[in-house]
Formats: sequence, C-alpha cells, structure tokens
Amino acid sequence: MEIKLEQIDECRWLIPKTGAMKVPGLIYSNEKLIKSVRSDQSLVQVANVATLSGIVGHSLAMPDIHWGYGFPIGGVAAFDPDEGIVSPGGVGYDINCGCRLIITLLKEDDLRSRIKNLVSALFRDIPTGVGSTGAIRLTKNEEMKVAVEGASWAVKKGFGTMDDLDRTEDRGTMEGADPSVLSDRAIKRGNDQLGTLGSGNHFLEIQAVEHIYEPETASAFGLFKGQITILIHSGSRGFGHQICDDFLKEMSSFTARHSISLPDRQLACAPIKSPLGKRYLSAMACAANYAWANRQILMHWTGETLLRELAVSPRDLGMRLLYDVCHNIAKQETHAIKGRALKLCVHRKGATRALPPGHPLLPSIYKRVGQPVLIPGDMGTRSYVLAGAEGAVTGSFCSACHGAGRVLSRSQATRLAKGRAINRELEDKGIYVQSRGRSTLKEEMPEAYKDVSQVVQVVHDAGLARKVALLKPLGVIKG
Amino acid sequence: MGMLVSSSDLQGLYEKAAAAMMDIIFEKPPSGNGRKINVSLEGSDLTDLLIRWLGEILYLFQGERLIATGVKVDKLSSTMLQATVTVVAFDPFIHEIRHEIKAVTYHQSLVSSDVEGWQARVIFDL
Repeated sequence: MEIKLEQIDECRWLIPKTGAMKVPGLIYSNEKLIKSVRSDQSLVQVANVATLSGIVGHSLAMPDIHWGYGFPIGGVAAFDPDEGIVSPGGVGYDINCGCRLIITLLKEDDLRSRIKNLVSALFRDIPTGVGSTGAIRLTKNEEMKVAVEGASWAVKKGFGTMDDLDRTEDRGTMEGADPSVLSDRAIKRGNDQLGTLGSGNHFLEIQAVEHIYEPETASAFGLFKGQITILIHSGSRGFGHQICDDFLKEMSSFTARHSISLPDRQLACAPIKSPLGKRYLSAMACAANYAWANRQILMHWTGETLLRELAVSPRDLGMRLLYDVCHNIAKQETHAIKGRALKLCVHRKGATRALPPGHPLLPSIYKRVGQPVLIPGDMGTRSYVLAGAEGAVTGSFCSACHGAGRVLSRSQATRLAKGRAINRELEDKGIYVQSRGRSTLKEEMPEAYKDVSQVVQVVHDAGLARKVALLKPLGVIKG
Repeated sequence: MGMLVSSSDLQGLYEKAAAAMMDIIFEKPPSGNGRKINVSLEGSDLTDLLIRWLGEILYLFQGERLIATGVKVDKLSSTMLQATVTVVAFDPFIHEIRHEIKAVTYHQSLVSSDVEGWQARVIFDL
C-alpha cells in the first residue's frame, strides 16, 4: 500500500485523508528520521488507525514511530466518547509500560570507581529476565488491592513515601479499576511478578547528568550537572500481557460477530460505551495500577541496594523520585476540539503524556515548569529529561515521544551483532552492563535504535516538550 | 518476529505451527513423554483459531510453567479445535530459552490454502 506524505514544515508530515480514513494522519519527524519511517509499515499503520470509528483530530505519530502490531509504536489517537472505540492493541500488551527517574545527591566523580560493583549488586538484588518472579507472593485478596490502589498500595506497605505519589502520573492510581473483570489466568500470572524488571527492552540504568539545557526547570526538577540519577523502565509484566491477550480475543470475536471490517485484526476494538469496552477499560486500569506498584517497589529495592553497597546514610544518598510516566495507556482526558472541551479516550502506544506549565492536572511542585517527560535512549548513548510545552495542547493531545524508537527488528539486530561482544564494546565506552538473557544485549544494542537526540530535537522544535537535561549511561542491568 | 508454516493438510498445519513456536522459544525444544492435556477451543475462523491455539500453548508455558513436547490435533473445523498436548514441567536449568515470546499477535496473521496445501503466517510479540 502506497502512502502519500506531504511535508507541512520541518517537523511535520501529513498523510491526507483517503479511502476509509476518517481523519488525516500527522507524523512528527525530520528529514533524516522520516527516511527510516518510510522503509517500514508504520505509515500504513497510522493510516489504518485513522479508519477507526470516532477518531478525532489526526491519527498521530511521534518521531520515534516504528512498526508495531496494529497501531504503530509512537502512535497517539483520540476517540470521541459517544462514537469512538477503545482498542487493546492501541494500548499494547505491556499496559502502562513506563519510566521512572530517580535523583540522588551522589556525584559522578564519587561513584565512577564503584559503578561496576554497584551494577553487580543491583543485578543480584533486582529480579530480572524472562518470567522472572520476585520476593513478593500476593494472595488473591492482596493482588486485587494492588490492582485497585496501584502505587499507593506499595507505599502503604512501606515501599516508598507519600511524596513519591505526588511525583507519579495520576498519583500512581488509575480510577475505574475493577478486578472482578479479570480472568483467572491474569490473576495467576500477576501473583508472583510484582517487583520484577522483566526482559526485552526493560532496564535499570545508572546515569549522570551531562548537560543542562534549561537551568530554571532543571532546578525545579532537582537536577544538577554531574548528578547521579537512576532510570527504571518496566511495566505490568505477565499480568498486563494476559489482560491484553484476553480482551484482544474477546474483541476479535466481537468484531467478527458484528461484521466490523478492520484493516488489521490487531486493531480489534469495541465502542467505548459498550459493556465490553467498559470492561476492558476497567481491566486495563488494573494493569496500569499493577505497573505503578511494580515500579514503586523496584525503586525501593534500588534504594536499599545503594545504601548498603555505598555505605552512605539516606540523607547523604538523597534519593527521591523525579517523576514516573506511562507509555502504553488509554486515558479519559479533556481536550479542546474546534474550541469545544471534550472528554476523549486518548490512546498512547509508545508515547508519553506531556502537560505544559499551568495545566490543571499537574502537581503543585511542577505547575510552574510543566510535567517532566522522560525519554530513554539506547543503552550506549544518552537519555533526556524534557518538560511539557504549550504546543502539545493543540498539536498532540498533550503527548510526546517515549524513547528513541527501533530501526532494526530484534532479529535484524541479532544478525548484525553476530560475533560481537556488545558488553565489551559498551565497557570500552565506560558503560557496565549485566543482562540475564542470552540474546538481550544483541537485540538491544545501540544500533538497533534511532538517534535519540534527533527524536528529542523534533519534539523540542515542534513545541511538544522542551529539552531540560541530558543524561549519560554509566551502568545498566537488563533482563 | 514471525513464522511462515506450510503443510499438506490443515491439522498438520496447526501441529507444525505449535512445534515451530516451541522451536523459536527454546534452544533445544524438549520432546518425549509427559502429562497429557486436552485443549478445546472455538474461534471465528481458521486464522482466529490458529492465534488462539498458539496462545493456548504459550499460556501453558507462561502461566503454568509447562512445555508442550508434542501436540495432536484430534478434531478441527473452521471454528473449533480439539487437541491433546503432551507437556513436561519447565526447568530453567535444563530448558534454555532462545527467544521470549510474550504474545501471539493477530497482526498480519493469515491461514490460507492453494493447490500445494495450507499455509499460515503468524507474528509474535517478543
């Protein structure tokens, strides 16, 4: 399928509305990045999403767009609450996969010689890898509480402080979670995976702040040059995957029964107002809450390891959460469409919410500067901290990119890395990596990803979010 | 990652697809005797049925820690499948994982036939 692209300006490309598309597509990109986008099927996927019932505005793609299943990764689509649909494939399998950035009072100069030991200690203490299980075994009753309460469950159990909740999107609890809609399989898969990192692109990274772009905002975020930070990327583990899988199958049957024609079966969906749509949203909220509790616990255990290995006091460590954002979610949000405030169901699949300064949903601590937007790059280069900007209000349903975005599939990356020792290559750059899976480092090697600096520059130039700080990796643990 | 499977007959296609998926997951997929599990599924068509069938085999591993060492499709129509799956318990010290398949997706999935037999295309979430 040939997709026509019209360049609007240096940051935006339009897919004109044709055929069954109900709205045009809009891609945030630049001259260099758009070439790789043209080479895969993600533009077709943007056009496919534009055919779904009740979509409003544009079918959007952030500059880290790449080929996903059904929806592209990096896709954002908002749906009218009366006419629109909700799609599990538009959220993704790893519901509320997201990032959490932790800041400390440690400085790179103090830690440099101890990074290797610290990485080993974190690798020992944080459960990682395929199907990894943690030290927490949940009874069914307790698992239901996690599904409803999210991060606040973890805080109540001693894994963190109330202050952490102020620094978490939606305070780490999505409303509307109803565990009674969950399958026995989802409950079973969730009972032993809380407090685990997982595998694939999930990671825990020790970083140092290399550059500050916007000093006033960096100061409000608590960031300074040379500071040690820790970035955690994980999600709802098997619990969220099972929920997505359960509802994809149910919605696949629904679309077949109602003779709904879809360009891709992975776009299976149901009306937001239908009983099935409502059940999915209730189940999805359970997984979102599980993921927030998971990252809260991972942060707590990270702190315990740092205190023990570095033999410092909590006061000297000065560890606290900067922010926690989700990447894969469908949320009921109010946005202005043609001057009218409408409550829409915004699907973000591999995209980050980005609220500008003054937005009513911001916690008071960030009201003046905007929401922190955390953008991890690949493990060999850099990550960014941005802040939400005004352009996202009219340009992207308050959304920005979520990472660098893949340019190579996992199979392609593995083939390219054959015969190479990726961990040694990274060590030569001063980055210590430990991973559980045999093929993880090859699949996740730096060349598998786009240049995150280019991706972030597009977001910055398009006015969706502002660059605040640049973080360089020092040590990484992966599944 | 995806797979293309072909077989001269439809039941064989579903059996081969299950074996191929285990071959992707494990370095050396275990074979041999084990416990028998009966699987009964319904789907809206052959493609939907294949995704549900592979999803069932994958769940046995993800949720029950059981590896399918053999499958036999006993009954099959365009909307129904009955099969017997032989399983052994997963032992991480013996069964080395090559690729973690997280889900069997519907994306670009297809079961089709021509004069040479049946073909299937499936894409996995890794």
